[in-house]
Amino acid sequence: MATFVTDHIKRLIVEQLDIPTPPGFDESTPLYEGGMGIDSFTTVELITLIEKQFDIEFDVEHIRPEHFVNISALGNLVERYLSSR
Amino acid sequence: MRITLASPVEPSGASWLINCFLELGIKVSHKPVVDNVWRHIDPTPPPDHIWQRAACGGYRLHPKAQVLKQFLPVLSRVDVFRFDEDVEVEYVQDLPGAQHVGAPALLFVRDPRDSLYSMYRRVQPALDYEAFLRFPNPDTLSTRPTHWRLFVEAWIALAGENWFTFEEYKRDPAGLLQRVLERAHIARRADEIERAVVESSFERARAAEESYRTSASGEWEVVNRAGRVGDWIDRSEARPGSGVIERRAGSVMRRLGYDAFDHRDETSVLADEADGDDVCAFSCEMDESLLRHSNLPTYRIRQLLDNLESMALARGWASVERIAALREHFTEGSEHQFAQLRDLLRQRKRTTPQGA
Repeated sequence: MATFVTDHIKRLIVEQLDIPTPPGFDESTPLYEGGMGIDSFTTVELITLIEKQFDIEFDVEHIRPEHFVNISALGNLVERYLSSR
Repeated sequence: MRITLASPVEPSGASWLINCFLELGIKVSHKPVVDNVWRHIDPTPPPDHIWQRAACGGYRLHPKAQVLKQFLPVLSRVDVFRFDEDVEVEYVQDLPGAQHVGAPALLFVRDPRDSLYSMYRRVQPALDYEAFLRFPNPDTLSTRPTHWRLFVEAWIALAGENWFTFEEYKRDPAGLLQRVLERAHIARRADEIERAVVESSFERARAAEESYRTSASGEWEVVNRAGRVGDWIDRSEARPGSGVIERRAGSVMRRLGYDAFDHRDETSVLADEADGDDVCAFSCEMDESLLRHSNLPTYRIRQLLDNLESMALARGWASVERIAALREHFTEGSEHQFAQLRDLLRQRKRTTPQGA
């Protein structure tokens, strides 16, 4: 499940958000400075895409830096939503 | 042939000319939109990234550049463009660089007393008009009127007599388009020019914007206003600011044919600004609230703070630490940024009906 979710998020970021991947890109690459370099605008796009693709709705209180450090952390958060259905 | 079309960032009517070019089959690249939409990509793609090759030949607008439909009605009317291969226009709102020297350039401007006030109404900052004018440009740290002056002076140096005005467009759009094409050595028939002008009218632009706003939720900014020549004269809110603009840009305005009062202190005002006194005062007075009230996008506020910090370090200003602390507030991925994001999402959840 974890691999499926993180792979899916990876594809969303690369293919739908059109963000180029830095060398050595994987699920531990930082989403913000020193990694993918995404900004608040893109974060909102990413949240919307994930909610749509996984048919979930994030609790606003879960929108915190620790869950958006990298794809792995984001994948863990999405998984929690999927397993609590 | 590659031609650069430059106009200040403030509303100046250049979208009308861009739309005319596209109607006439001339490919136009749009650097401001590429810089904004693909700003998280390093290096930023070239300005013609707004176009994608269509499978059937020709070009189609990149899906991420749909925002341009707000400004350019031709993009809602035409799906696939087949451009003239001999000429291409690159639209910029930046100061010129080394790559522009010696290349053909066109400059499109509007009376800054109208265009800066129009920008104020478009951005809707929580600042009064004079504070908006004093707010430093993130790139040059100049006040808005001085940045306008720098921009126009720099581009006139390259464009020579190839400058055109919004006021002329309002008087005689077909005549102006004819003159632009002649100066750019682009041949088109009179009926083609007439049709391009009709398809680029304010009414067409407004209708396209309405249609775009219906399809793109969250776009609230009205960009196509029926701009009047000399609008600032009838607006009591704009008049004091117009005096500030004349003091900082009067000589360039007069060169362009605008009737601007000849302030004797123009040189000393500009000298004070060049000394950095205004910037120093701003860096001591600014706080997070003022920066947010400017309604600048976060990435532009960070550029402003980066440049202010460099200047403060170089000049040994006491504001260095304050600037660094503020930068942290505007850093992507920081706790502070996420708090802002949560507020935005809460707001969105309140305004978006369930299931929408």
